[in-house]
Amino acid sequence: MTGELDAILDYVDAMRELDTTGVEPMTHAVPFDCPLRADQVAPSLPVEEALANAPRREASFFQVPRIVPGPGGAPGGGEEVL
Amino acid sequence: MDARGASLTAIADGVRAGTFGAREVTEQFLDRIGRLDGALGCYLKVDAEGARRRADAVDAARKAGRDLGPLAGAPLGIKDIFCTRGIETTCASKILRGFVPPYESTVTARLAAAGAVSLGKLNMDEFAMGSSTENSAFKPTRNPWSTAHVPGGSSGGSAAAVAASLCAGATGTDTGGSIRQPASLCGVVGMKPTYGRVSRYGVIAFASSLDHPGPFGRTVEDAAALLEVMAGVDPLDATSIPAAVGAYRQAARAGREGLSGLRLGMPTEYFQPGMDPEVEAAVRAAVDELGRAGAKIVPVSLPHTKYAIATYYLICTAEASSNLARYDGVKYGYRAADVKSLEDLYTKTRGEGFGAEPKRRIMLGAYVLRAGYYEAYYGKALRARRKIADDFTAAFAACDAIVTPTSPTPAFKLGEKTTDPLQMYLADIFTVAADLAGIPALSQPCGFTKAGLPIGLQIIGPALGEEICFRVGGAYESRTDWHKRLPPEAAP
Repeated sequence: MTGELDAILDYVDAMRELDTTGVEPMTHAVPFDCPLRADQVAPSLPVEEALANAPRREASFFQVPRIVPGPGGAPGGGEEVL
Repeated sequence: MDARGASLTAIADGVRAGTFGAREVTEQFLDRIGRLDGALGCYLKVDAEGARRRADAVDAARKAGRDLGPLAGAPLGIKDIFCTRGIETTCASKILRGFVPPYESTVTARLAAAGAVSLGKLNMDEFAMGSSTENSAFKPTRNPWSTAHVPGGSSGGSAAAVAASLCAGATGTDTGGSIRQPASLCGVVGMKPTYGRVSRYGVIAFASSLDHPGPFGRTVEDAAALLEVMAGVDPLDATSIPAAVGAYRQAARAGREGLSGLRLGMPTEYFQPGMDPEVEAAVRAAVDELGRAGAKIVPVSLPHTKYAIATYYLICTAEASSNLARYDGVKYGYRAADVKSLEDLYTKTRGEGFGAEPKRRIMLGAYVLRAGYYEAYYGKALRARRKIADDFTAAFAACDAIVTPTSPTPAFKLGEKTTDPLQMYLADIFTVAADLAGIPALSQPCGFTKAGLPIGLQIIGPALGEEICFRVGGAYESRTDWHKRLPPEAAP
């Protein structure tokens, strides 16, 4: 894959010859103002549905491997906790 | 009613008039899928039970004298990038296998409300990254005109299914050509509307500033009928355009009256020496036909065309590397087993879940965005993007629409470009610029090679100029019969 990525980067390097001095970057195809909506509470996804696709869950939480050291300063391990 | 070759507007008209029932239509298409899709691989999932339920609801509404929508009983295929509530949506990636969306995309919700009957989810390149549908993590799709050839991509399942009458219309998405290029390679009509014309809500993101949902149809009017339903402002997509939806079907029909007063531009950069002779001959003949329909053909120039592919791949990979960061094995989708730490979870899940092309693009995107390289790559591409868009603005001062080939070549063979990603990227050379500029572009059949493979004509319009594209497309279609040809199929 390294060779493929090199070939692609070589190809895009041809852009260096293009003079873009003073050209405004175009981040969006159509000019638009970020629209604001009324600050009203609307229905959102119920917790059960939001969690329905989670590969691992417990109660109303997504479950991930331990991030902070356990009790007694033990390093993070494979045991999964909330 | 014969499903083979039937147009979706003819089907909806027949259902609305009571000539035949939606259930009868649905059964015919399900039967075709059962008999023919094994050899083509268009569908990732067929929802027969749901389709029958939706068709019965249309028939019941008609019996009860209720108003039927404009797409009543029209059998559609849905690209598997559109989230469908309660139906697995994978984006043709292992990393989303088993994902059952808890919500429905705006596009599919609008189509269902208009009476359309979804038959199932269609194959595509993984995360819409590819031009042949060979990047699907599950299976390739084959071109109905020749099963040794690719259908194009990334919406290859959509284009092939419409061509083979395994649905009468389909949804797709176009980021660099993913609607128009497969439409061209499969001999059907594909329309990429103006950026923001169709809501992206519930469409799995690849490159957000470039992703355009749009329709596939057998005829120009079929694509117009679908876009009329799909288009419109949506409070759930802040980039959707709050302009009134045009009368696209009427525009397609108006084309039959001719094109007098219209100026069509032929960009010199899209007709270069060395191009495929059969593609060139067919597209030049199509432009001549549009001239006979009353249009004035004028030369135009799009001088930054040669930078379009590089600009596109810098921007789309940058956006993809950000968008695809969400697949982490925590909230949904694939999660690697036996992980020792959070970092382990991320690297194993993503390493095992993504295929080669998404990995390639995530790495390229992260590279072009990194400190020290950002301005030279991503910043440069954003400036080049404006120059490419300005080319079109200048050209549209001299013409009303631009006509070009859709794809530089007809369909290529499976495996022909899979070993060289750059060659695959160059398949999008005539389509990426309209995505960068965000302007509408339609592809329709304009001939066949000696070997029997379709060739596509592209009609590019100015921003929100969908009606001009449909009018020109309608004019060409009314004067030719390429769209009436059907691909061969195995005897029942």
